[in-house]
Amino acid sequence: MLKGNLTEFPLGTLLQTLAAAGRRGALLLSPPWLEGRVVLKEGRLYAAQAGAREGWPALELLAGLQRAPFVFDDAQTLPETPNLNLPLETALARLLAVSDRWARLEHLPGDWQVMLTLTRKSGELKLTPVMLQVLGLVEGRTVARILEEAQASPIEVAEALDHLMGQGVLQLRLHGEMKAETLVALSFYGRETGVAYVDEAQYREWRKSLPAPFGVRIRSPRGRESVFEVRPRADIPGRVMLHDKDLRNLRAGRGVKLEVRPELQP
Amino acid sequence: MNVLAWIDQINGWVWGFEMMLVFLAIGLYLTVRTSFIQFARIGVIFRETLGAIRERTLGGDGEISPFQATMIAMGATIGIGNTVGVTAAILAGGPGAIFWMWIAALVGMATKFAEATLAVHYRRRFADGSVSGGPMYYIARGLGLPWLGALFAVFAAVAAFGIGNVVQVSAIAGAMQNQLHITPAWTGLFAGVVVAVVLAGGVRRIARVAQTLVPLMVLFYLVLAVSVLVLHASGIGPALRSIFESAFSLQAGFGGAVGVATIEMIKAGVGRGIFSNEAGLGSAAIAHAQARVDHPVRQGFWGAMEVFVDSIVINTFTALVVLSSGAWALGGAPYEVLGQSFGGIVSAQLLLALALALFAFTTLISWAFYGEESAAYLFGEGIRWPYRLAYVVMAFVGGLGSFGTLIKFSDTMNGLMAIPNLIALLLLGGVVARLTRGFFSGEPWNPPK
Repeated sequence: MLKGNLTEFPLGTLLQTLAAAGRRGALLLSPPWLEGRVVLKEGRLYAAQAGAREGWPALELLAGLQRAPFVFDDAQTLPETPNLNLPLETALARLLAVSDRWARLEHLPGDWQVMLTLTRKSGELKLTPVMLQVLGLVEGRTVARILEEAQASPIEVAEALDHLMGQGVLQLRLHGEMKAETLVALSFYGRETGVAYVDEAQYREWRKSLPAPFGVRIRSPRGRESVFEVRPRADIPGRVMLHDKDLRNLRAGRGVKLEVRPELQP
Repeated sequence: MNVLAWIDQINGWVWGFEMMLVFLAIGLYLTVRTSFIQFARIGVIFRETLGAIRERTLGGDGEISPFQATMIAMGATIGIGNTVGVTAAILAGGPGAIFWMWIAALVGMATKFAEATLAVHYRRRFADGSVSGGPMYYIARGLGLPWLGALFAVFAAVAAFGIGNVVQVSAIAGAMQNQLHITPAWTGLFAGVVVAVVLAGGVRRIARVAQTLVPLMVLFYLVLAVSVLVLHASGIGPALRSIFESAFSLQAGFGGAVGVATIEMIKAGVGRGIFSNEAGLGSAAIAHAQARVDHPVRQGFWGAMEVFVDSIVINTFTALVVLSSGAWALGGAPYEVLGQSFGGIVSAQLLLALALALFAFTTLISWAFYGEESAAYLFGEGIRWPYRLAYVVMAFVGGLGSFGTLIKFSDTMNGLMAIPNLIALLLLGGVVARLTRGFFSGEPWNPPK
């Protein structure tokens, strides 16, 4: 049984390898927010399913997954009737084109469990029918459900979401607060106050969950707290680097453990 | 002229008064280039060092914490210079010599700040995250003069065997024989075995030993000094007054002309100060280069603090003990006067001997690392184990004989280390200034490729 993760083997490469080897069976993809299945039979992509989506739309949706554990099971009972039944080359060429469109999205989070919400931003924006459709679905649904349930194709829905997030019409709605990290204070000097530097890896971690602009709320052991702009910096793991004056304002000093919680900026 | 006479002549030159002036001049130059960092940023220096002792390492390359790196450096620095050396300065120049020792220390803080900063900035990074650095690297990479860097490494690798090894083992053996009647051969064997065990663990084990032993021995010595000072409490005020009053007095010394005595006092104070804190010799930079820090200037602060603790704190305590006891006024050999000064409390002589043995032992360990790093710079990684083995053998043998010529030769090599290092500090003063400005502007550090 072949196992892995899409972070190591992108879907296109994986399907090409399996089909070229003449494998017959089902590729099961299981990110936490979706159940996906692609059936290979006689060197063809025979069927696909992703949540409520079937056939080509399902494959299009699965092409947008950046990470998901997968298992190829050749003992699975295969469906009698195909919902895709595309020759491998045609399927892969179309998959590649869709993958390129997914890769161009800048604002849509990789985690489709998150919910989006309308912002209070005012102004004029030209809306396409797909965007209108998306805006009608956005409240109370996760990104995964919007992608599954919208009438337009998943990639068109994703592009509409991405555009609306980029324009500031939609923003991430968090399930409660993000988890706070305990980081040790490190001071920096200069003119720039109101900025908190965290290690690049920590920043990347937060960035994955918070694709919209975010800052950090820092709380000192004495209960003082303040919100800072956050930026990445190399070589400071486990640390939060604050201007000496900001540290003093928090009634903290170098080496003090601070509670640092990322939060979306208004 | 034979070889020994040549060595004597060079030794006299590298440790001479003119050379002291060069040390001071470079220190003053670096003080200006760093915008008087040791004065203007003294609060930051304290917060970034003593205020951050309990913190773990920062990220980046390097294997040990900034504190551990400093303890290795202090292990080598704190020693005879802080005890017998200070006593010798008082005997040669009077109480005023201590004032000039302080001046040398304040200037030396900028010098060692620059050394530690450059050591981190120009260190070499290996694929496994380990690093190598020190003057040989900042001379080669910063100045583009690999031959001069190699010359420094030769001086350091050779000096390690004498000043770092034989001299220290002899000191330990002497103390053990005089106080506990232990045969030097046993002391040498014990020192050799312990050094072997420590060196086998590489820089991490050396760091762990240093971070435990050095603060303890400093504390031990200071408690001993405070205990003696309590007995001579009435002498502390006059001792301090005598330091300041005689620092600028033009009165003649024992039989000397007016002015000559003053110069002798300055020579004694500044010379012994430099010998004590080693700012300008470049040796400590080899240890500072190992620290895991996000910016070289942060390690530079530790360099400055190292001089402060060594020359302002420890030397002052020694001076107060010697001066308040009054033993110095009778004259005599520095070690004897020091012993008499500490003689007021029960078993003080024994405790002092133990303190000196500890100082010598940490110096032995730290210099092993300096020598090994220098040898590895010259001959590659393969030399590490042969060098360690030779060092351990020398530690054993060092307890057995006097090795006068070797000591003189290595002492000269130790002094010669300053020449390439001071040239580099002078020419790289601009880099130190740029890094310091960048740090205080909140800029991230970009190590050279």
